[in-house]
Formats: sequence, C-alpha cells, structure tokens
Amino acid sequence: MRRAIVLSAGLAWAASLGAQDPPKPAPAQPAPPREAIEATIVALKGTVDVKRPEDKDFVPAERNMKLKKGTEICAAVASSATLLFTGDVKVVVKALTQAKIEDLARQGGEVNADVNLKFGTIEVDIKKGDLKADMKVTAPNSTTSISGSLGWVRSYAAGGGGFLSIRTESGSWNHSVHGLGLDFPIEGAGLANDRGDLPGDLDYAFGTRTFLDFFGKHKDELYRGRWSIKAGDVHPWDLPFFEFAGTAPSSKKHRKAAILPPPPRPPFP
Amino acid sequence: MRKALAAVLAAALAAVPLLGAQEKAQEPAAREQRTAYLRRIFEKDRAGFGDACRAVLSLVQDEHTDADFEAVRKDLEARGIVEAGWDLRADSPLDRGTLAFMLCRALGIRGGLTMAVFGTSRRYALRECVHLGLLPGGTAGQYVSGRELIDALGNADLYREAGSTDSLRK
Repeated sequence: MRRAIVLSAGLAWAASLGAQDPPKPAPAQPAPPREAIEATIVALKGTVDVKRPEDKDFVPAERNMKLKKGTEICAAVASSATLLFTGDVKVVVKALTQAKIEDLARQGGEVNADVNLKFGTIEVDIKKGDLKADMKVTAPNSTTSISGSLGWVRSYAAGGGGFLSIRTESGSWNHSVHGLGLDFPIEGAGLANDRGDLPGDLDYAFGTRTFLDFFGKHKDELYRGRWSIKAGDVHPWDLPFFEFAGTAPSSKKHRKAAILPPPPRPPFP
Repeated sequence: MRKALAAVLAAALAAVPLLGAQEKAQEPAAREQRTAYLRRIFEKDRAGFGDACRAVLSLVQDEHTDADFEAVRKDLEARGIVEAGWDLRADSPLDRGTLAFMLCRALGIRGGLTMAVFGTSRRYALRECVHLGLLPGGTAGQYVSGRELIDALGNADLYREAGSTDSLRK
C-alpha cells in the first residue's frame, strides 16, 4: 500500500512538472519562395551599354529593355539610364558609371536588390509601398544598405574602390566598411564621405549635431540676429551703386514726408 | 673582328622591324565604339592623351562622340581647349598639367590673379583644378592613371552641372 502511495505521488509530481514546462513553439513556417524579378530601363539619355548574362559583349541599351540578375550597365560621358526595379524602387545610373545587378528577387512581401557599383554614381529612390524594399549598394570595400530613401552613392574609381561618397535626403541608410567592422548609420538627410571636404564636413556635423543637442538650435539659426546676411540674400555688390545707395534710410525713397508745413517767411523782403 | 662587328650590325638591323612590330601590336586593332574606351581606361595604369580628348569633347558637347582622334583634336583646337603646338599623339601618356589645362578651358575656369594676368598654363591650371577639387594634388608633369581620369571627368561633370565638385551638398 505504501509503495502504491509513493508511486502515485511520484507520478503526480512528474505530471505537475510536465505541466509547468513552457509550451513548445509552433514549427516554423517555410519561407516564401524566392522569385527572380527583372529591372526595366524606363528612361535613357546619351550612350549606355548593357551586358546581360546571355550577351558575350556589351550591347547598346534600349528603352523598355529587361535586365535580370547578373546584368552589367555602363554609362558614358553625358549619359544616364533610369531603371525601375519594382513600382517603388527606382535607380538612376549616372554618367561615367559602371554597375552590376548582383541580386534582384522578390520573397514574400519583400524585394531584395543588390547593386555592385564598380565606379561612378547612382541615385536610389525607394518609395514606401506595399512591398518592403531591402536594397544594398556594394562597392569594392563597403556595403550600403538602404530602405525607404532618396540619396546618391558615388564610388570613386581611383584608390582601389576604397572611397565612397553618400548623400541622403530621407530614409534609413547604413554604410558598412568591409574589414574594419565600422558601421555609419544615417537617418534622414545626411552624408558619409571618404574623400571630400573634410573640414567642411566636420563643421557641418558640429553645427548640426552639437548645437542642436546643446542649444536646441542650429548654428545658423542661433546667430541669425547677429549675422543677418543669409544665403541667397542680395549683397551690396550685387546691385549698381546708385540703386544700392537709393535703399539707404536717408535716401529720398525712404525719407518721411514732412508733417508740419514749412515755417512762414519773415515779414521783411 | 670585322665578322663579329658585321654580325652584331646585322642582328641590330634585323631587330628594328621586330621592335616596330611590337609597337604596332600595342596599338588597338580597331577604334573602340561607345563605352568600351571607358572600361579600357579603368584598367589602364596610364591614361592616354587621346582618351582625354575624346572624353573632354564629349563633356563639352554634352554628347558622347566616337570620332577618330584627329577629328576630335581639330574640334578641340577650334574650341581653344587644346593648343595647336602640342606635339602629342593619341597614345602619348597624359599628365596632370595637360588634363588640368583642358579642363580649365572646357569648363571656362578663369582662375585667380595669376591665371588672369598670365593666361592659362599647365602649371597654374593644375593649381586651380586642385583648389576646385577637380583633380587630386600632384605635379604638372605627373602621369594620370585611367582611374584618376575617370574621377576627374566625373568631378568635371559635377562642376559643370552644379558649379561645385562637392557631391555631398546641393
């Protein structure tokens, strides 16, 4: 009898332990199938050549030409091509640029695009839509991830592909440098520059970030009262001298009309 | 002794056509069309004067050109971008001073006081181009690599459009 009680108590304890175990996660659903898509050339200017995977050499690009994964595109001087990856992702290949579409596919509600920029400049314009766009621009020494953005990426030909300039207007960007493990996230308007006006960039960053954090105002806004001339204002030397002189407070144009009549003349002649 | 000298002379004479053949073999077999020259420039250690002429004329015309070197050079001479007295061939290595001179003339860069007084020279054109960010630093006689030429042309294109070579600002 005692054995039966001990056995039943042990079984009850084991059952309670089993009930306390967290529920097992449901088996993962299979990933949606990956479907290759094609980019379309929607606008052309000047001389642009493409080399599709089936082509032996570069051939002239044409409007409405379909470009699949593995296609190279090269734009000459004073030339450009606008590629539409999907309805929301537009890439403009600027003049003096060679790039390759490394990856272009749709997986579920996401579009994956990877453009390898050998040299030159591309403009990326991703609009928010039904599909989530995951785009990368790969240069020889760095990768830039983009989502929902408008911006420009330039890879310099000299320097072994180690130099890149990025200017963004919107969206989330992340510039990652290979080998160094450095990530430069950019939110909204910003810049990342490996070669350029470094003092200017530092001054811009200082004026934007530090002044905003500390004073709550941008540097330009803070000193607006003291330095009234802003970009775009007309300077004195932009006007002819007499026209400029005519704007002075003492000039005839600004002189106030006399309130009282002139004093009467003396009685004697 | 005479036989030995005659043998050396004969060997030297026999080698002359071979050297000429090697020089000819280095020249491109056919004129490159469209963007092919751009991809070739990218791989070259030294850019040629012909490459720069073709690219600068395309830049000035705002239209790619496939014309041959002589026609391009005459066009550039007529525009004042290339001096008629320059003894340069299509395959002559391009130096920074020559490229700077061509860019200054093509973009209408008047320069500072020295250039205004003494006119455009390769030396001061290079100074001006470095100041404007069109070219990296260096000396006027330093050769330009193909990739540097591509970057300089990209900068010149940007300068022509925006009035500045700083691609990060509007």
